[in-house]
Amino acid sequence: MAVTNLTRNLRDGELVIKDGSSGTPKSLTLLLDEGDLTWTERSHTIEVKDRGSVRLGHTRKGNEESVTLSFSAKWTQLIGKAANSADPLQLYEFLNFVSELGLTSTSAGGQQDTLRLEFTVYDPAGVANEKIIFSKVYRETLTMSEGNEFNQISFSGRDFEVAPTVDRV
Amino acid sequence: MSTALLQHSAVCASLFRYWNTATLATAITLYPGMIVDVTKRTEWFEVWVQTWSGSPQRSHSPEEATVLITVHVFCRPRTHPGRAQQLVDAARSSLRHLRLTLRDYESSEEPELGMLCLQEPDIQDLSRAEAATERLLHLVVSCRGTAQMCE
Repeated sequence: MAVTNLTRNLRDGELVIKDGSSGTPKSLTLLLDEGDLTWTERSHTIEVKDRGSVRLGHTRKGNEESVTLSFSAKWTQLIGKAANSADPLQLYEFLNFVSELGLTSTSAGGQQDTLRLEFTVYDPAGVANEKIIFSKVYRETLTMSEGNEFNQISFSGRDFEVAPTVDRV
Repeated sequence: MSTALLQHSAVCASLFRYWNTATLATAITLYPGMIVDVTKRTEWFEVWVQTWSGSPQRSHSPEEATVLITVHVFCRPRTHPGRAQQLVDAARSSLRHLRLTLRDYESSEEPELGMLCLQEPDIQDLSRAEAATERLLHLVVSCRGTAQMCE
């Protein structure tokens, strides 16, 4: 059986963030993310109407659009490895490219700092796991908020690609 | 994918050990499964612990669970009318904002498993209003919190 039609949900997902270091990139597996990763692949179409008529008009392809994405995670420690090299990497310092970490962007020098997000969705039947790769993710907003049960970090940004790469793994 | 499961037995064992050292020495505590003749007792605690996983979680993440500890305070105020309230206050201060390391006491090394963080306790008075041969006050202190496994 190559593919199963079993539904997937947040329990089946795993989100890993990597930098652009050659060889072995620096990597952080989110252990306390909320399971709310959302991405939107956008498409821009130009509608050319014929004297106001849609029926007589036509469409053209518009500019390509980058992918928008967001996720949130429970906030544990903001700074880890940047404060003590023996400590594990923390989400906040990773997303902020804290200089002590020596992170490398996945984009070429001179461009905006970007990271690679790998979202793996495990097949409940263990047959056809899928990995969704966002190669050039940059941040638009990073929101830290307090809460009754837990504090939270919310990321919102874009992947500078038309669509992520989806592979079966 | 790895999973770190939160053991209810570890939560109970850790809490009960803490409770034994935290509460007033004169009042005994009856834990689940204990049978004690209380007819001649003037005061005692009964403790229950419930755990449940409240919200969906990633399978590979360390498990989190909501914990509710319920302490029933029983007191026959023979000589000291405010004794029941004293016991309630002692229970309340023992539980409020408690940060407790969860350990596996089944293992000889008693390894650290995670952490229990309690919130603010609630108090209810369940004493029956009608007169009895000897009045038994029954108050309940309940406190909710979160237990998290170490990575």
